[in-house]
Amino acid sequence: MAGGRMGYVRVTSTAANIRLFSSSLRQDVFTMSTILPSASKTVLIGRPDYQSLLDGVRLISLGLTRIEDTVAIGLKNLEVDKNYLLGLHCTTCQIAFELSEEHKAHYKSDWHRYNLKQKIRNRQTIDEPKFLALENKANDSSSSCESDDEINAYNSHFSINSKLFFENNFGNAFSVYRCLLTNKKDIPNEEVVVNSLKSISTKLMWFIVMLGGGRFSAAIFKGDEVIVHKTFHSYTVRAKQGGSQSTQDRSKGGCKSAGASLRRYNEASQLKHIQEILSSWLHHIKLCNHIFYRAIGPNNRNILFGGSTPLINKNDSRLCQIPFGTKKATYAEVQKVHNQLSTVLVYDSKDIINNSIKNYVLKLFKKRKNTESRIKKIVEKPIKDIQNSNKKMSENIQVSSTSDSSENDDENETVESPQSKILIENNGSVLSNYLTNKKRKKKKKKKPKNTNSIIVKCAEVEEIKKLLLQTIEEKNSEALSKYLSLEDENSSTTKEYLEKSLNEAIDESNNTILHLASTYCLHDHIYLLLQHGSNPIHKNKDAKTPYELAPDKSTRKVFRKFMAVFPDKYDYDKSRLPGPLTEELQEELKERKKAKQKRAKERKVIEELKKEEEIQKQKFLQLSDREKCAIAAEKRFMAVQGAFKLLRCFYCGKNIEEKYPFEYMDYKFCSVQCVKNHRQKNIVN
Amino acid sequence: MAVRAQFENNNEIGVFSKLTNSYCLVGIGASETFYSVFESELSDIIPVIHASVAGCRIVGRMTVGNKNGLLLPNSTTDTELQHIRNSLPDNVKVQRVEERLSALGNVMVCNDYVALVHPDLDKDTEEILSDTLNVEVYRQTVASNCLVGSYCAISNQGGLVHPKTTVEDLDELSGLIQVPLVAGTVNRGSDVIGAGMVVNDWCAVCGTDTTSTEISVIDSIFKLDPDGVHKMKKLKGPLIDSIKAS
Repeated sequence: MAGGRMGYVRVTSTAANIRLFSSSLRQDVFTMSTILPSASKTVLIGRPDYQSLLDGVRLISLGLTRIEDTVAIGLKNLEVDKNYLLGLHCTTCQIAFELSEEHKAHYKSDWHRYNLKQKIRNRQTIDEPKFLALENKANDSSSSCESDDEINAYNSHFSINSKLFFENNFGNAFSVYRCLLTNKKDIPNEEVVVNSLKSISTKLMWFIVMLGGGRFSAAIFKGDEVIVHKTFHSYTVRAKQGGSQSTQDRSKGGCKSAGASLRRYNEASQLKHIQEILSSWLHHIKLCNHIFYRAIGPNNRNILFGGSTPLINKNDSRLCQIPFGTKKATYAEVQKVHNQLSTVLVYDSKDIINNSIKNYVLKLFKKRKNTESRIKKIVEKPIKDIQNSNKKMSENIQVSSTSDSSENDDENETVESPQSKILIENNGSVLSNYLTNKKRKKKKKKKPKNTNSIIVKCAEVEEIKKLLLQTIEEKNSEALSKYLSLEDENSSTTKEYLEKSLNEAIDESNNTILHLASTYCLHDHIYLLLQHGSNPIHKNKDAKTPYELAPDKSTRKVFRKFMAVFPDKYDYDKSRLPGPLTEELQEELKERKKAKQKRAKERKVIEELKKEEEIQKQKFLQLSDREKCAIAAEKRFMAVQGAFKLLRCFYCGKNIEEKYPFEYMDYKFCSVQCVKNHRQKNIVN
Repeated sequence: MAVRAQFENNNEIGVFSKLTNSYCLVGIGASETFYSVFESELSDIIPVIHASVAGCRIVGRMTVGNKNGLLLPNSTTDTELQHIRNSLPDNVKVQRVEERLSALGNVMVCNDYVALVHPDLDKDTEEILSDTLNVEVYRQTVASNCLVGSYCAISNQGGLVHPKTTVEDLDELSGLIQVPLVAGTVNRGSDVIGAGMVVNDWCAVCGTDTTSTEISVIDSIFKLDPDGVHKMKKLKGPLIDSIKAS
């Protein structure tokens, strides 16, 4: 029956969900420690209170990797997760959700659509970071490498499963490093794990060895007691460069400096030293239950496992890497590692763990969502940087020009940063000031040294821009024309400056002066600027040319008129102008407009006629049938006399003058339908 | 309780009729027995409209609709559209859509709040669907079949889906549609649920082949006969008492 079947449905799919969570959990070791709440107490393995924990101990599903196990244990935890796992998952994309809004939003996402189509075509579905990478690749090949790296980081970073969770009869939950219980990547089954958990206090002979950066530290522990330990440091790492000398030698060839040879010697002696120590400890090591090591890089690993007679067998079943991050190899650090490994964190109940894991999964989900926006940011950042550096440069220019002369000083007070659009209003005199200044400056221009000349040039361009901007702000085309014509008369260098300033961006959205003139609809300005070499080809930040920025038709016409007069001055195609606006074209347009108006007038007349007809029709329809008959008779009579009156359908009032009407009982109609309707109506009446 | 009917010796009721909470379309030219089944169940509550789409009687497979509206394929003629529009209640919106997958009933399925659609459906159609029928639209498959309309039947009370739908899928779908779902069959083991039956919130019609087990599943998942179940429970007590006494 339906009910029973449904119950079954819930149970198994819940298990599937747990699988999803555990697979994402398995990935993250380092954040795992941060996501879990702090333990209510800690117990050291081998102490008396450890044994008391083991009463009726069983695994909790969290740190598991095997699907079957998780499913089986997930069933036990059903009570806890019932509310949480109410069908909020997408089997296509292998993802679970906490909120139904997230669940629903997911179905609208492109990722889901892509996966759905993949699934239909029996292809592999992909996870979200990969999809984003794919999407980016399609959009822009350059940004995709970023997210690819990210995926790799994800995988390597997340691939260890470090802790197992248990609960006991007292309702406590506790965690133990899984490397203490089993060495295999898969967990054999709960029984084996629990057995090894129980027998662990008899296996407390551990050998911990850490190696890296010329440091070596090793110790053999029996319970809390240290049997032997040794720590030493030799100079093998290249100072300030990092990396070992042997790596450097292998990649770039031997260097003959004193330091290099010293380091080479030290490496050899360190190897020898370690070999000596470990072989002297051999009888202890044989007795050890676990060997934990940290040896990063092929060099360090070679010391432990390499050579014709390796110190430690690579395939030793007791061997295990230290399952968390450590600092540099010192005796204190080795002790710390031992302490951490033998610590059992006890939580009040497994609900605490479950809750924090829920939060964590949610965070992970959000994190994935954020990757997209992060990629965007990365793209945007360099642009901002460039802008900032631009800003700094222009500030530098101003500073240097102020130091040039005291007269410039006065002027710079009136000139503001090019980034700020605000301009001082009442600066009618600025123009003349500027011109007089310029003459003085020209004399000075020869004085500055060559290094300064570029700066001066920049300053000059900035100043011109400022003035141009001002004319735009004031909408004063006369000032502009006066200024531009004055400039024309000047020497070729100033002309060059002028051209440069006309064609350079003057604000942060890369608008040229022509863009601004176009947005403000300053027709005279546009024409003047175009005449004096302001190229309409330049695009602003939004990839718009000045022509495209023009808000109204008349402004656009100015551009096209200019094109008609100077057809070869600029590349109008690239400026996105549709074509020249010649006199003939204008005439043609005018005529077309006139014709359109005429047609509209005619239409209006026809409509009025129709309206009149409609009124007449309504009037006729309101008459009774007898009156209609009277009109028909009158019509016939008039026809004899040669006068004129319209004949209409008795039912709908349509003009039937030219038609041969349908008739019954002296009533006349335009169609059979009207006859029928009229009859029916009369019957009803 | 679900009723059984036959369209010219054919059990695929969902092909020849479309049932919603505010109207019912039936294919033209069938026997009076077929129509009387619908009319006796519905005609005093909602209109039963005899219609065709593009000259075909397979109205159930060509159209998709709920109480808010009705979508017709582009092949519907103007007269058919006009006829349907005239016969439907005024608050039901009728819209013709240009969709490549023209058998709309096969590629979409909906109740009054949610619609599942074929993954390849046009985005424009999706938009029209959500606007006309006032539904949330989800692209999804049912038991790895794209033809969601053929393989499931849903109402505001519950839903019946393809028998091979996995339990995870069932759970996911019921999470989406927010009604309980069950995997099952109609017409003695037919897996094309959508084509085999029609259902609304208080009534269901399926083919004459449908077994009583299938009928009971349909009744319980679509909550078609709450009174009947109640009656049985009420009866049970006294019956057993009387048996005990005798």
